Amino acid sequence: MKTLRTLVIYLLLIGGSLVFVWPFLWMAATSAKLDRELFSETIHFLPQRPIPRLQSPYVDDRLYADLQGPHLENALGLIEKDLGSLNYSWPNDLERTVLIRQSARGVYTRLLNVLPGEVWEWPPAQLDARLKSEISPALVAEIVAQLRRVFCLGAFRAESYDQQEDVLVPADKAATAWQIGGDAAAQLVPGGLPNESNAELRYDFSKGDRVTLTQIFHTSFPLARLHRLQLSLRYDNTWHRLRIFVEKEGRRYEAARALPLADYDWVLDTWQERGPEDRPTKVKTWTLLEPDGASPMNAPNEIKVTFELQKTNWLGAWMAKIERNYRQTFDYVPFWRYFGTSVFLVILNLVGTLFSCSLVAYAFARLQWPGRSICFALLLATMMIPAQVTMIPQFLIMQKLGWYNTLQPLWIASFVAPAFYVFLLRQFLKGVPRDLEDAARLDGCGFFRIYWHIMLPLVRPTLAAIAIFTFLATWNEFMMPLIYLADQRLYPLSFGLYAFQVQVSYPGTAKGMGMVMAASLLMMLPVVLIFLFAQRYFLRGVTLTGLKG
Amino acid sequence: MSPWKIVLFVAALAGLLWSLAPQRAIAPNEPGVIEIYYTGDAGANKAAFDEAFLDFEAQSRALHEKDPRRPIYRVVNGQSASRDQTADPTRFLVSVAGGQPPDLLLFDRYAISEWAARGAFTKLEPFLAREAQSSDPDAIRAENYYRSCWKEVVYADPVTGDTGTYGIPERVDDRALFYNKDLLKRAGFVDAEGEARPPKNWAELSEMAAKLTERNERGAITRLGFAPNYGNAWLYLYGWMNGGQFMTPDRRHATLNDPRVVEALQWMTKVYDSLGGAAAVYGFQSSAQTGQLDPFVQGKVALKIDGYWTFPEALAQFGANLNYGVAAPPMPQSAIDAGRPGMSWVSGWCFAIPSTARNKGAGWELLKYMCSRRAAEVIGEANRLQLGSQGLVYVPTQNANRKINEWLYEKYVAGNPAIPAKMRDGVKLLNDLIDTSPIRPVTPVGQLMFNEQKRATENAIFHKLSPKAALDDANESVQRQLDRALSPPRGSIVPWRYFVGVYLALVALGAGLIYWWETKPRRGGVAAVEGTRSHYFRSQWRGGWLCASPWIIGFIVLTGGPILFSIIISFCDYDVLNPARFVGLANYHWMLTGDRLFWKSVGNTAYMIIGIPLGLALSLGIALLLNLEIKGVAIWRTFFYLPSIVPVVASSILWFWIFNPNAGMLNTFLASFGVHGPNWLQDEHTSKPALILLGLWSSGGGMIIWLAGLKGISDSYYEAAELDGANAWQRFRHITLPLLSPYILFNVIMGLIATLQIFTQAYIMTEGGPVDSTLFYAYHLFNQAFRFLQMGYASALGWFLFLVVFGLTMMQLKLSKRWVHYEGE
Repeated sequence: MKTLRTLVIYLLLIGGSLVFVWPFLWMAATSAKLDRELFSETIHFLPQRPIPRLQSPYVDDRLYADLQGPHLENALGLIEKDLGSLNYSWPNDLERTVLIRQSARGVYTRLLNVLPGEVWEWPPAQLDARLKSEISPALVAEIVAQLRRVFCLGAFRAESYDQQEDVLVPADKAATAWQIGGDAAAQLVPGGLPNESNAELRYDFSKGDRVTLTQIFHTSFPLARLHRLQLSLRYDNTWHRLRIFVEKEGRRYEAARALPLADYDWVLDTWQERGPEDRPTKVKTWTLLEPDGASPMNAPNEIKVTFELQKTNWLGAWMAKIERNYRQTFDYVPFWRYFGTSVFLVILNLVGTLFSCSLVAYAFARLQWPGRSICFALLLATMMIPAQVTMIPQFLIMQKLGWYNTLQPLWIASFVAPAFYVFLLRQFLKGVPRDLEDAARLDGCGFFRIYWHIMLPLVRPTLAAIAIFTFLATWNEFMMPLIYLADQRLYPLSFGLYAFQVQVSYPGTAKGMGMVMAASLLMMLPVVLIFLFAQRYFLRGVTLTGLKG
Repeated sequence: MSPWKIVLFVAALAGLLWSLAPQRAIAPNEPGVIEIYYTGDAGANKAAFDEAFLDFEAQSRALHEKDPRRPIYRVVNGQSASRDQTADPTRFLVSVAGGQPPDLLLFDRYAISEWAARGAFTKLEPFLAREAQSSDPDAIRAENYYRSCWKEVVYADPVTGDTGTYGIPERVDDRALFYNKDLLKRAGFVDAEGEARPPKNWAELSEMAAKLTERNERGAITRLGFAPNYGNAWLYLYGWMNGGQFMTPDRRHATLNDPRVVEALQWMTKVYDSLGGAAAVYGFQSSAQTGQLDPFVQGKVALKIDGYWTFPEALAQFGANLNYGVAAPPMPQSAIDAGRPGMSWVSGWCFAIPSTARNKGAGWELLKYMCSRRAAEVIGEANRLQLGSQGLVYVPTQNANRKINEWLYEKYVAGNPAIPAKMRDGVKLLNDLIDTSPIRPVTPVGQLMFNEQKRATENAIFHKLSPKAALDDANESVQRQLDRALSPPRGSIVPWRYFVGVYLALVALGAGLIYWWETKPRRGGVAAVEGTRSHYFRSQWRGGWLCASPWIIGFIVLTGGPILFSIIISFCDYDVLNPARFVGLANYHWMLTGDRLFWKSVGNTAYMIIGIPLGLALSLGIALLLNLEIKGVAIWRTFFYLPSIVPVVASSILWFWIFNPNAGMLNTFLASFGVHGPNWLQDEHTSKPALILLGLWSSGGGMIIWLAGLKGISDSYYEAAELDGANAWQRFRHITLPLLSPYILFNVIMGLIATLQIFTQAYIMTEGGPVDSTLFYAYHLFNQAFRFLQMGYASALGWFLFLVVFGLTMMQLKLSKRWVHYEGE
């Protein structure tokens, strides 16, 4: 009986904590996912494992992994057999058996939408005949194109600050314009459809771990006016790393960071030096080029560009994947600017609240002065007034003072002693024995020294609780920035996060969800850390004040 | 602490603050630079607009180098934290009220009259007069724009006749019928050559709607033929087609219940009925996604009337394999017989300059650039490049400037071989329709009219009301607001100086009186306050005043003054832009009798009270569990407590995604049991329960309070009860609960007060929607103050809230005497 009871208790505890902690785990897992994983038919809790394949191109054997449907095994067998006998020239750079198996799954998925439901219930021979009639080389070609992962290069452009654009490598020349180097086997092959040509970079990292593409170009504008370099490319989801080196005007530049070959949509990657676009309000859609030594290239129109593809291992791939949304968050918002502003406000609010509240509470608790009782009654009365009542006049006062769109409204009120904390401290100061004060007075202490040396040390636990709640309130503040701040450069973290969420998320899609989760996680991290280190004060604060955090 | 340590500490703190101060980052660090604040849409277009701004800046820099008197412009285009400028212009209006709005704003055209009427926008006539003199071919002239677009930015006050141009049109959207040729052919709707034939008139349209709709065995719609409100037609289009009007020509009376409009709504209702009811259609719509999974792209919708954006957002990207056609929306046969031309309706955006903008001249310079062909080209090229690199086709948005629009069409549509004929013809058709299509009435109540027509349509098609009754109701609501807007209060202007003087005099008088009263010697020569005769106590007085001065100053400036101000303003009409005027009890009267949303918000708030007992029970349950003899209490407690300290912004965003119907944690979890989860925040029936669920998750703070209470109960009670043979439930019921009663009462009252003030979660997660189902009281108040700038009315709402809070607090004091058990009594 006793053990059963214990068992039930612990089961309840485990179940309960799982429910409470699950959102955090989900949040962390989501922050490491690609949008594609969040937006698919079947959604997995854990992020998909990144696989750094050694050979590219390869067959994506996970595209149709989550297959569901009637008579799945049966139908797949039939389709596989039909595909094997189909008059279709399978690409010879991919593993045939894997390709056919995956294509069968793709065909099944497609036919599921096309064929009426009862077809799948037909006897095998009849079903097979129907399937055969549906499977055409065109359909298979389309599915194979979906399954084939390969690293593709398109046009390479340079753009000047005067909106002059040089196409250094047109898309249809991409296969011949680059010199291949590095210690791994690689070749550039013309690829793509006739109307949207590009080049496929086929490589093999089983020997060697580096492929480079190099070329020297001449621009029509002086390179001093160079704004950015743009390459359109399609990654192959191998999570290897792409880096760029540029040499021009006697200097060498290196990309500030390598880009992982994540996901497999066409993208336009941009590299540029520091310039007028580096502003806190700008979404950084480019990778920074940083100076890195001298170079012999110094003609005003001559530029040497080297792309380097570097092999990564499973650990590197995981790191890159986990990092991805966080990095993008930092590109999207001036995170450290927001963070600094929040810390700035926390410090001012802490100093203001602790100092003013304790001083005022001291005056109310220990000093005799005309007007004290009336003032204290007023203080109690104001605690009942909802913030919404004074919010509007306060806004208008701040506006008249010219403080709209400044940070003053977000901290000034803490210097005039928030009533609740004054009340709380007064209750504790009331309880200090009179003898202590009298002894100090006999020793010649003035009021301020009594406050500083006697009273403050005695209410330290209460002050700690107030400090914690002030920190939480400031860190979490939403309403104040909402009505007082217009300029993004002044946002504190809480509001910056909201603005970010508004910016990247569109209703009805899961776009940007991974990034927003990453940003939220970063925002709550300081709170959680402080809680873990100062748990004692938190809990005492709650019981002391009746506030719930 | 020794003095030098303190000095050092203060110095270090000051240094830290200085280094963190963000204000320094704002100051333009280059001479001659003028910053232009711009606020536009946050969507996909932002990157392209940024390119244009960069070009504008480079141009100004080049001009500055030639002539140093010309300024260098820098465009500040930050994240404005506003989701939809039109549906919720809060952030913009707060900045107008605050006196630092953007210098240039991109705003929905039909909403411009609403705020122009209130004086939030600058009249552009002086600038336009200068343009008229200019010989620049790019100069902004009304005749270069589509007439309907220009008409929408000119607002004439129906009462005073005061007329102004408040914006320059930017883009246009009109609507057309998109139809899936394959589906039409399959159902036999073909012409003599066997080509798919779009419906000619309403009768054919409703026939196709019913015939092309398919259902599964459970009766759910799997393929939608046509639904009047799927896409972007609204009652407006059907009403106009049927010859109806939504407002009288003098724009003083709303006519949503025009018999022609009622007839149109009857037709819409009939179509919905023929599809198996609006609920079935809405069920289909709710699972619709965008982009590649768009139902029309997927062939799951046969016909829809939708906006031009269907091209750039769906068909250009994913419609390559779709065999579709575009036609003018079909009209009722009577309209065709009357010879009315085919029509659509026109909406779009415009650039406007707020009335309190600091740098209107610079704003206009940027506006001129953004309306030029050069800007259209920079934006077009940026988009083309961005999409092209992803293998996608760029279709430009329709420009309100006729010349630029035609040029864009030639360059990017007709001149682009990658655009198939079906899309080219469709774009052409939509461009041609702009001229014959009407705009929504230019009125200060445009937004409300839109909401009300939507509400009326839903009331009718769900058969909550008959079409006539629904529109009568909507019309009354619009008319009431219109009367309010057109007849501004005539009360006297509030003399603020006088009130400030009176307040300060009162404060001084009060202070004097208190001083006199408290220091006056009473019977026996002793005053209320010690120290009238002692030097030591006199110095204590000064110490007390000094120490209490932060609070006293704060009270006078930030609490007492505002309270008086708030009382006065609640009897006034005040929108910050115009002087306040006394209106007597009008605000309170409107609150209790006129404002429908007031009662709605009270109801919503009352609903949330359900969360309080649930939260209390849950946290008490956890506390009881943790109060048992278990190992690792601290760890378990952390798990349960952690959610309650998560910043509300972070938790709201987290749960916003958890509740996402397609990709969210909750519905994927439910789906693993084969349960199709609800739409949570996007459904008016589940939005409030969803918010309650979020509240329960963060109820760990209450648990700590319970734990403290439980720890305070002496074991001897339980031992005694056990001796008497009480079982666990009886011990809980008769010992634990009574001894916890002070905590219960405290928690209930605090919970009620907190519930009355729910705001942030709703603001972040639902914006008060859907259908105002999460418009809570504090949110309504906030909206009135900062979204509609009805400061007077919002103050009245605030005082009503105060009355409730006051009542609750009094109740707490009373009840705690009556039935709360205090130990030792």
